[in-house]
Amino acid sequence: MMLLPPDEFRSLTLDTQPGNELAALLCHQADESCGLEMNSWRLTAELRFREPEARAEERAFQTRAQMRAACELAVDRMPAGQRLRRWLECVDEARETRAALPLGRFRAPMTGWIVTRSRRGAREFCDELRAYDLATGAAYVASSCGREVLSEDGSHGDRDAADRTRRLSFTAGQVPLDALREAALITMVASWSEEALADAVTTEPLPANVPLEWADDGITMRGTSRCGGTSPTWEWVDGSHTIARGASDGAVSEYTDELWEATDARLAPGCPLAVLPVIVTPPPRPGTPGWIFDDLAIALSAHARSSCAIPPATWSRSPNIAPEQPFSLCARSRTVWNPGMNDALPPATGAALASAPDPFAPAACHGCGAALPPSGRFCDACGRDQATDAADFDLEIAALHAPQIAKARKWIAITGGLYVLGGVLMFAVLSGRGGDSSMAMVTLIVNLVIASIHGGLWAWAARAPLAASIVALAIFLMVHLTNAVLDPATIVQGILVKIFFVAALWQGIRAGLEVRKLELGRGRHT
Amino acid sequence: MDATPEVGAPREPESPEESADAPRCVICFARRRDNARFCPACGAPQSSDAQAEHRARVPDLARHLTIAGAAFALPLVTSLVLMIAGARDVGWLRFSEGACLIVGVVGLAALGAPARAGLHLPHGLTLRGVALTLAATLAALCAAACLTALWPLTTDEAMVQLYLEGGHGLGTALFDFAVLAPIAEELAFRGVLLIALVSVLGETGAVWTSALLFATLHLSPVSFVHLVLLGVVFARLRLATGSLYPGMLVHGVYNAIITLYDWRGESL
Repeated sequence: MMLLPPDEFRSLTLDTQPGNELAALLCHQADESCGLEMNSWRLTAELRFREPEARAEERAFQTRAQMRAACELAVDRMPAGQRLRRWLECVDEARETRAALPLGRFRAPMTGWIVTRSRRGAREFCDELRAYDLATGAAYVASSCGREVLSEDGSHGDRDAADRTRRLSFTAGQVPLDALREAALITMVASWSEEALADAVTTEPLPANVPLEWADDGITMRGTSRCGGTSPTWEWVDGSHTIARGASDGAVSEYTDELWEATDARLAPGCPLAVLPVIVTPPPRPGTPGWIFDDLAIALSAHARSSCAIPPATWSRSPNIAPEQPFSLCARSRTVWNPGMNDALPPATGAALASAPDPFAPAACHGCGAALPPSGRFCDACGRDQATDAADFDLEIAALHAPQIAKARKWIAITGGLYVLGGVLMFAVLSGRGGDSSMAMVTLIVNLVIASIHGGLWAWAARAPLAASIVALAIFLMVHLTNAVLDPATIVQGILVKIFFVAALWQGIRAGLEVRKLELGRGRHT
Repeated sequence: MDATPEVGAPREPESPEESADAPRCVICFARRRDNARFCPACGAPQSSDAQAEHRARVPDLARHLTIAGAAFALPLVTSLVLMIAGARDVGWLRFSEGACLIVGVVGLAALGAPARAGLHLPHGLTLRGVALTLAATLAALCAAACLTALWPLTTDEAMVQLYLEGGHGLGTALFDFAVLAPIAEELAFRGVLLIALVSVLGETGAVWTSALLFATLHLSPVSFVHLVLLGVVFARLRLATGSLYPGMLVHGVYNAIITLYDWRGESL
């Protein structure tokens, strides 16, 4: 019986890799509070890697018997001294493996930009350059899509002809921060992941045709092969400085692709909250001029400037764009997006861009006038948020807090309706019993007054949700505490509605406070 | 794509602040410039003076909201406790006003200079402001008179009844309603609640919210509308003049008129 131990997991912590370029995301092994926010992301990834379908794709043999037969056959024709080594290699190749993230806890990346470069498709392909701001969720995507064209004799691909089929397109907008940070973190950590890791001991009886003889010429155990030519690559950029970069492949790459697709699916087109930094593509390999991602980076930068004081003449070298046609996707205004534009790729002309006014020259803070740092959204002299555009602000509020605020408003309306209903019912009950009709009228009027107040608060909540929620909560507490004092039995009446109402208003107030903090941070004092 | 950049090969830093030993944000660990007072990535202050500046611009909203909540809750709880205890005499009113007074004094101390500024003499009084105040107060008086005529027993009338039943004279009632109540309520509602809410809601939101809470705390749905109107008048006076005294004065005069009106009606 031969026993193959499980593979060793890689570890990525500040203790094991203190100099790692992802140090800002790593934790000390002993620090159990570090990186708690990504536990669920890690769990999701691990579950995905353990899915039977994901593992079956990597499996060489579907049954153990198949594996035994194949390995015995593989060693049968070999010299006796090499059979054990070859058999072990064969069994190892056939072991059930899975992808695995490195061990350790990680912090979510909160700042900087992640830039990805990838090719999707083969005959119909798209080279894509994507840049996402981890602080704001701003997203810029440039795609150059084309199709493979064979040479006239059909023996090889005609690269020039394929390039002529390329079409360039852009997308920009905002993506949800949680989805973005999850995709970014898993992508970055994936560069240190294991693609095929056996996580259990494998025991296998030694076949009769494999003698226990060892030819000591080394053993080549299972490894992963990376297809460097089509590996998606990523780069984590802080301003124009690269913090880390890498590439991913295999099962982990498939998972990160899914995360990016999920993130992009939630991209809300519009003008992003953050300005695209200068994207410098990695140096091309010798002998590969015209590197497509250089072109895409330049085109994307130009697009980002398109609101964007780039003179149209700058792009006149493009054969498909007339000199008078502005190379602008946000031609109307910064807040208007025109996704229909789909022009041929302009030539990669660094010189052309150099002649244009530099839109990335330090801008001045709208609060204190100091020169802004090259990246980031806050002025480092006065701390004011620079994303003050009303549309941006509304977008952020809508994305972050609108659901809670809408919920609070809805519950104000529901409670108002319940007061009306309660008043009418009480009136009917009290006057129907032949009791005190003035008491019934008082009850009805009090309920209608409170309902009217709630109606007013509901309307006010559209403009001032925080103030309306505070007043609604105060009135609710006052009414129900008074009722409880007068008649303790009312405490449990409609307790579920009371709980839902208080919870919804509390969430509304918290959301309103967050919005107010944003406003104050932007220097908006209303 | 036929080339893959090497993993882990950072470029040379292009400027001094981008070098590896550049200072980092104390909160989010992003790189920042040497002289940066705030983090460009998360906006967090990086020095004690920046912290103070940040605090002045972005006050602790949760704390201010808590103070406002306490300013509302303490008088409410006091009233409810007195109701549970069955207190149905003049002491009930005085206990409630005492709670407002305590809220006012403690709140002014907790909120600091912006709230204590209300104890200064008024400034910025204009003829238009005075006219608007008088008009709004008259409107509230008319509303109260109409309600008293239409509705058998408003809260104010019930209060006056307590004085008559307890054998107290008009002077005592006037002192309680026209002197004690305005001082205590202005301190609590316009001195503390309003100022705490201004930083949270802005001026307009705070004026209306404090007015609505002021009306709510009177536990009289029938008087709600004109009490809201009065609350708005008093809050606007506080913000326009920077002082609590004009509000106290108008509040006192209003209460005196209402007390005299109700006293006359009840004693007839």
